[in-house]
Amino acid sequence: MKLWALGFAAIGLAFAVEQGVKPLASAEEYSVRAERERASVGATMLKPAQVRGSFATDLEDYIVVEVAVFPKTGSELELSASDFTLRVAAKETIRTANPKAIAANLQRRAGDSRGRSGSDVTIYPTVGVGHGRWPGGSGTHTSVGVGVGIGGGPDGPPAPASTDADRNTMEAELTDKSLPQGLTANPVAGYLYFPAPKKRTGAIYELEYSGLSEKITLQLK
Amino acid sequence: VKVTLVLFALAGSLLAADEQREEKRSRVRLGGIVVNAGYGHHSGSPYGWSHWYPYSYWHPYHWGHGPFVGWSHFYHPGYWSGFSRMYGMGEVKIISEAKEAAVLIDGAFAGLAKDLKTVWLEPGAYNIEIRPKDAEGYSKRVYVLSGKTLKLDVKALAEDRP
Repeated sequence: MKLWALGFAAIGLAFAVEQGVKPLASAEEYSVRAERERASVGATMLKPAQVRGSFATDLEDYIVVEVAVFPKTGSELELSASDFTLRVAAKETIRTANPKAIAANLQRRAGDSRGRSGSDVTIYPTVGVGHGRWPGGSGTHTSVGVGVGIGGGPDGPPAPASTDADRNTMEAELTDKSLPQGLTANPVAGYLYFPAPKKRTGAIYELEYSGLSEKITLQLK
Repeated sequence: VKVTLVLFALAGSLLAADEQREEKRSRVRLGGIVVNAGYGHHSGSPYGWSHWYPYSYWHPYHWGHGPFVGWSHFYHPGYWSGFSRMYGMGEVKIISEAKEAAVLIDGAFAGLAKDLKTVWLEPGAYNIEIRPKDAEGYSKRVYVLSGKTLKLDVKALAEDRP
């Protein structure tokens, strides 16, 4: 039994998707970087066009930062997304959003947008011609009427990225590309996702990392 | 089994018009490879191996009755349906200068780049590999969402991070 479990675990590892993105050669290659005794950290904030080009998931309401951590030889670091925060204009502090929550939020919003468009409601104009005879009457009566019917139903295609399969796919994409977490002695890189503040234009962003003994603050460009 | 035999008969008829095959076999899928083994009757060409590029279909065949073993790429189900558009699917546009490049989706042969400019897939994550005939191949993990279009430019893949 245990042998089977080990076999399945080995197969699972063989087909596992590596989390994060490939780190660049060094922290120097990122827009901003800092060096400490145990590690170097580099970061680049993606421009909206870069985000659109790098993700299938619509992340226009998020700030995406690529972060790379290069542990020094012999050092091991425990990485956690919760150690990173984004400071906006030295006032507001934003924590990272997790992929599951982002995907659920985007799916819900995509579903809502369909309802708002009114595409569920269809108006059916109808025309009827009646012909009848009534008791005591000596003639016939002919009438013409016009009616309007309103109907709805799941007869149209779902709104883009609004199905459960879409939510799972978005979650998978955001998880696969996010900064790997846990213990590492090797360079790792990946994305962090922060909910965008209401006023983005002209804002100054600082990425703070508190996973080392000395806090690192990087002013993103 | 009947469907398998029909597909096999179709592949055989395309391989060589003068060959006739009649066989029973079982298939095992190992990643992107289908291994075929069984017992069959062959008439036409004498002993040898057939190779049907780009399908990489190798099969030992011989005169008369006898066992056989062979292997081929696993064909993506969309290969047979033409990756046509359906309810709730997402679109992948493949831009490749190498028209004869083989396109593999999750290790399964999907077709040639020239025939697969637009591919419709169910929402999900896929590994798409472009394998030019005489050059290095590229692969990328893509995420398909319903109602969305994704462009996969092979030139950009080549310039991507090593």
